[in-house]
Amino acid sequence: MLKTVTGVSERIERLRQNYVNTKPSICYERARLYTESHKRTEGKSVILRRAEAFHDFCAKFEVRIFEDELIVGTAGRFRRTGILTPEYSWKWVDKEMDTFPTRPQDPYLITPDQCATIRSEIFPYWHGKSLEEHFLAALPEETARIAVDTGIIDNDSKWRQAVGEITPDYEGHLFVKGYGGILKDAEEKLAALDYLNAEDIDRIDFYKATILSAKAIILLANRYADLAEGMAAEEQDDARKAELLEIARVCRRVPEYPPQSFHEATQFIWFVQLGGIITENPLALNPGRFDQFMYPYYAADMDSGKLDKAGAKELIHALWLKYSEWVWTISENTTGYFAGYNQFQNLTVGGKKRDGSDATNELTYLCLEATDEVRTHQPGLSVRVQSDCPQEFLYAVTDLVSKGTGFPAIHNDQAGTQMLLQAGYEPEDARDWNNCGCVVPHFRQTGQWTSAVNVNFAAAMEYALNEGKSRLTGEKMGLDAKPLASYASYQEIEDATFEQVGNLIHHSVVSTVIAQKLHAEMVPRPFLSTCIGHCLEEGRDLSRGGAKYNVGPVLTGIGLAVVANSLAVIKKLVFEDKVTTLAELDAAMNADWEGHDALRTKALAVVKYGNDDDYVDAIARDLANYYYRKTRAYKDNFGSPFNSAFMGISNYIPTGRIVGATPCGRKATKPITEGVSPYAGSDVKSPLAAMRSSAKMNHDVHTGGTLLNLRLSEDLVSTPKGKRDLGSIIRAYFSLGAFHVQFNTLSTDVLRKAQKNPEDYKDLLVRVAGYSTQFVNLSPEMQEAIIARSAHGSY
Amino acid sequence: MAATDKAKDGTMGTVLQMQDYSIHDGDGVRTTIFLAGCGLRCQWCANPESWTQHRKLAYHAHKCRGCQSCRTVCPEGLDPAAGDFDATRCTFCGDCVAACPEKALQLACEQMDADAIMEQIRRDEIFFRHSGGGVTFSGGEPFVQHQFLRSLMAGCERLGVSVWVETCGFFKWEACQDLMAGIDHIFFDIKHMDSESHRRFTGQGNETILDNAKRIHASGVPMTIRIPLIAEVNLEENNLEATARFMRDHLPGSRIELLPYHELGKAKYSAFRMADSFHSFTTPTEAQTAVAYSIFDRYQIERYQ
Ligand code: SF4
Ligand code: SF4
Repeated sequence: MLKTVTGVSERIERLRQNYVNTKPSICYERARLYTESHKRTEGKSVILRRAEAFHDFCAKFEVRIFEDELIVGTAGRFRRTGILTPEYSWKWVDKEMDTFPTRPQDPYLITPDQCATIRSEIFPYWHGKSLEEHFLAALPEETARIAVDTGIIDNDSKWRQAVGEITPDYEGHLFVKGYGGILKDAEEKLAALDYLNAEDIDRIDFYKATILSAKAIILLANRYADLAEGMAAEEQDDARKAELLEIARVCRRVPEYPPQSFHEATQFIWFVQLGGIITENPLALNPGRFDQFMYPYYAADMDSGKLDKAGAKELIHALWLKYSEWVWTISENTTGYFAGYNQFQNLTVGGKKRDGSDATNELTYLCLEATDEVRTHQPGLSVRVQSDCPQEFLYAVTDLVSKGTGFPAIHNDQAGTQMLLQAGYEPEDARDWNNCGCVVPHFRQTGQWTSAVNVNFAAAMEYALNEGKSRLTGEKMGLDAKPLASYASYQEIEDATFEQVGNLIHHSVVSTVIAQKLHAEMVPRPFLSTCIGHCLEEGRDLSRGGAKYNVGPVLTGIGLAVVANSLAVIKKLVFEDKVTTLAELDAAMNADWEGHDALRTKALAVVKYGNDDDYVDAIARDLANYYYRKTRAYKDNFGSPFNSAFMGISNYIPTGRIVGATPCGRKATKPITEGVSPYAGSDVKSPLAAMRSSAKMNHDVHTGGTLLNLRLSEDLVSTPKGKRDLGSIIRAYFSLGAFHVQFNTLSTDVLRKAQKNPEDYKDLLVRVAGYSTQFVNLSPEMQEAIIARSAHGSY
Repeated sequence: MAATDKAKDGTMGTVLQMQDYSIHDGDGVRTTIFLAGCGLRCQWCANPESWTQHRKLAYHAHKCRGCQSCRTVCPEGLDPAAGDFDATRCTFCGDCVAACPEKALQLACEQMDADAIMEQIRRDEIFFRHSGGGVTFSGGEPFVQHQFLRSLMAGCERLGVSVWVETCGFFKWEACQDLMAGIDHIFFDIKHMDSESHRRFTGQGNETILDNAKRIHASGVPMTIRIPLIAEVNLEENNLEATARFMRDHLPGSRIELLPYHELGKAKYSAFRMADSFHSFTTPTEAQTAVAYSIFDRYQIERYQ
């Protein structure tokens, strides 16, 4: 029997059980309605066609309200729905959908009948028309061979998927105007434009698309209101009947008008989220600073007595469940990078206000409690810890850490602000940051590809050490390089490695700017553009740089620790201690260490990154600095410099699969490393040493975010003193300039039990990398990787 | 300077382990430094390798996969994985430890430089500063290596780092008297109030220990009395009453902490080939521990934390 949780109402517990026990299903309604619409609108501008398709969906989709729901709206026929967006890519779906129900990571339910309908009625129209096909046709051959499904550089979520990576501006825009206001503004703007003015032509289409999108979301809400009224008329239970009538009232008001209550504001947020999901199937569509922009509604309702804490909590729980129920439909390749049905909707609480004062309030605490109470994997709860934050807040944070959910992601407020200043934000906006996706510091009036490309550092090193070739396939993948044995000095090897990293950066940029150009041409974002006020003022779509800030795409470096550890082994064993030769090391790696046990023991004994030893940490720092300089030297299609990051996602597993044995002692195909975290199990000293190592990287320049994941033995946070002490440790770590830390506090014992009896542990959340997800939803390989992270204990 | 001279002037000493992120050894986040050497032989000791200061080679049989790398490299022709390993012939060169792929071998009681220890403390200091923590000297019995302790404490004073000490109380007062002024808090073990029982379980009577407790208290260092609570040894009411009376009469203001016995040290006895010295005891139940505390409550003795 699945454990029930405390602190939630019976209704929420029923909704929660449904969420935990239901496998997501694919619903093709969105794809079917979009396809029919597109057939009808051939010849019109693409932005209008996309807006019309959205409008068609909102007008025709058979809306449903499920039992017990308080917050309503789904993107498909099921509570747990995944949708298809063939305009981005249909090919991978065509190839993979028959195995959706059986694939090891993130399976979806889909019937053979559904597959047949999709193949006969939906996909044929998109042949030759999808973003994927155009992208692959446009990509130069030399980039394609290392960028398409290789694990070397990976950006398939930017050409098989929409971008997402937006934080709607509720505070300054949506809640102020409502969609009725946006509609009116767009009509006024449109009236002032003239076809005779060449520059206005795109704007005219933009505003027409805005008007359609606003009308569409209002229409959808009203259809839910109609349904709720109809259901109320039939409802026997008086309490539910009253609820349905209230739902109807709320849906008549929002999102057309600015919200006037906490309930209305909550439903408003969900309709915006739903609009984003329907139009794009996005990753990282972030709620943002929920405790800030929701507080006025909460405070007013509490004051007037309209709401009590339990009522507020129930709405928050209901919203958290909504964020968790839908699934971001992704390919098997992408699941390797973003495992665990994760949608990366980041919700950030705490920190500073725009004026610099402390931002925590009652809602901040309710959000932390709600995440503990409902145990959903979404939203991704992040906290900003500022130096002057209340001690109670920090205690609430470490208390949540002690529950072992992996939440919250803990961020250094000041470092986040510093990162945004470095990226060119105005100071008030830089103070008003929230996280995007997992750890990227972000602001709600921004267009940015916050997770543009994953760059495999370990692969780059392999090419430097193996004549430019993959050790596993023998194929030439990198720049030319000489045979390992002919390098004369350590420095030469380090330089060669960095140069190969530079080459991967180059191809990442090529791949990104091509995708950026195609996004602007093929898949503009009329609905999500309504969420950013600046787009409306300028009359320009998000994909064309309509936001107030257009920040350069983020390239994420993976395997920092593996490369630093490997170079340290070469430096120490070959050039300093001279206990081995490059030739012997080369042979050992080619043999995947088989028959070279003594050498491997020596390699493993060389100090590893994560133990606060400058010998190896300095190599990691130099590589990170190099990566920053190289990345920043490139500019994107809007003239913004690219940004570096060391963040997570589960990317360290698929990237490891393509890399042969490495000098650090790692065996071929084993995972590499995430963010600025140490190699699993090699941070033997303590989490404090790991933090000190990590803090040596200059976090503030990596404006795409940095990530440190640590496992803590649960007894370190089982007492009030332990929780206070962890708070102090976090403060100390942040005082060193570091940006992020997140803890898994589950004992290995518990994880092993969960592997054996997944039925009993369906709701067990673990930190994967930058996010939390249900442990039992991870593939066995991922589970092992989690367990392998060294648990730090002390007594 | 020869190692023996360094030991004399306190710039070198024998360290079992430095453990950062200690949260049960005093205020805040602390780095606990375990110094080797102890005059007691408590039958429940969890750190038996700390009894003496000489170097030792541990062999963790459960990790060993029998690859024989250790035997192959040993310059003395020894087999550290063998049951009849002759420790008297071992030079503790560490070759076998480096060669073992399973980390099944480990040297204990290494000589360490005070400077190296201070360097580590310097790194941990940022965590002390934010948590109100510091260094805790433990053992073994930390006052055994009082010269070494003296130089480490001087280093802590220079850095402004708080010093706490965990002692079994069995040490020469005259040699350590001067150190008291630099200690912020002492955890002091009282294992039994009856000297004969004390001798039976620890090898020594309790006279010196109780005298030292009074002297420390008189010197003004805040104290917490700790009792390793063991069903077969000291759980009976008479003994706990006597301890509480002693505290009330001689150590007013000091606090009490009861540490229920655990068997976590068991594996060490076999790893250090000391299985003969291992004794098994019974862990008191939570209820028994609560009853024990209530006795101290009656004497209005505050609990630690
Ligand atoms: S420490 Fe040296 S002498 Fe002793 S067993 Fe190991 S290799 Fe042999
Ligand atoms: S080297 Fe290690 S694993 Fe091999 S026999 Fe010796 S102790 Fe056992």
